[in-house]
Amino acid sequence: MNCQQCQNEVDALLDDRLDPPAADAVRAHVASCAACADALRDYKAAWAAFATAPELEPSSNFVARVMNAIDVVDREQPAIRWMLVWPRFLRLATAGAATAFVVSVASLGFLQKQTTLAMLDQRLHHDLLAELPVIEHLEMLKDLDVIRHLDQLSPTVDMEPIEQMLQEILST
Amino acid sequence: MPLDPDAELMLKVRRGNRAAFETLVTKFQKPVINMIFQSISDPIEAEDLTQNVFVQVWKTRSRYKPTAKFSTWLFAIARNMCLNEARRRARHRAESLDQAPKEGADGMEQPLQVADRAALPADDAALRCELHRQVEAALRMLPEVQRTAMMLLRHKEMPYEDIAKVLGCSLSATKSIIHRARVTLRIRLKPYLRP
Repeated sequence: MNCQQCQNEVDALLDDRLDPPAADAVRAHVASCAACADALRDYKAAWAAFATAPELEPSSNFVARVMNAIDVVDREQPAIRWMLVWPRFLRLATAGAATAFVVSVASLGFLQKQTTLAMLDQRLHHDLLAELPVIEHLEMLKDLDVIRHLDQLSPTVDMEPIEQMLQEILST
Repeated sequence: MPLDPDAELMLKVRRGNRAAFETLVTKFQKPVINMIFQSISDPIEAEDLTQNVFVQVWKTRSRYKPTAKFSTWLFAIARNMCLNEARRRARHRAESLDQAPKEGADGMEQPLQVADRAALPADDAALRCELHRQVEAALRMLPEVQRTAMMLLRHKEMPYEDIAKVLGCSLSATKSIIHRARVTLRIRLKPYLRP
């Protein structure tokens, strides 16, 4: 073991966290190295001074003060305390019921919107169909180009050119 | 794996058991107040902040999970409160929690002013008293993370792994923090230690 390795192990040695063979290796090095022996002695003395320095003592009524403080907290937060002491299944049931309620309200709203749209759509179709001109002999015209354009027609389209075209076709 | 006895008590606290909470407060009041005192330097404020730590434990008891030791959780709360207090003081331009080492004109930290050993009182008790005063001063001059690590190490020699959890560092970083703190303490206290 060299000095650097010894320095690396000093903390573990001081805190009794070295396994016996490693501790023996450090001690063997320290026994043969004056610099490391000095350093280890200083580390030990500094740690001892730190570990034995007097500590601050809490006042004798400290625990009572804390217990009084949590009384105040509990009085100020009764709702939260109530939630905390609730059994887990009751909390889960409440959360489930709340979720179900929100989902139901959202679903109802969605269904209502869909129904309204469907009714409006149906009404529009009905009105458009009622206003579309009735074209007879469609079976005769199925191969003609005009059929392909029928879907583009609207009640506002001028039907006269189409009728003329039909007349020409029928006359031939 | 058997549960940490303090964690068992805390599980009772989670169910609202006040007697279990009182037991934990009695057990941990001293290490917590001392850890905070090393940051605050004012015993009265340290006690108030310690009280807040335990009130916080009570308020957040429902969030406690026995995956870690209770002491690790408690000291992490205490450290967060210390850091918050430091930030609050800094915002209010009050005296800093960390009495940072004085810097010279070149921005470098000045060496600790130490008394000449020959000038120290010969009396043993007085010498010890002076040594303890110097230990306290040296601790306060450590960076917050090193000071906290040393205080946790002092508390029943908490394992490095638990100290790492409180500090939110890796195990190797924690070992390095502890080593640097020890080196600094050794240098600062050397003039006051017996040959």
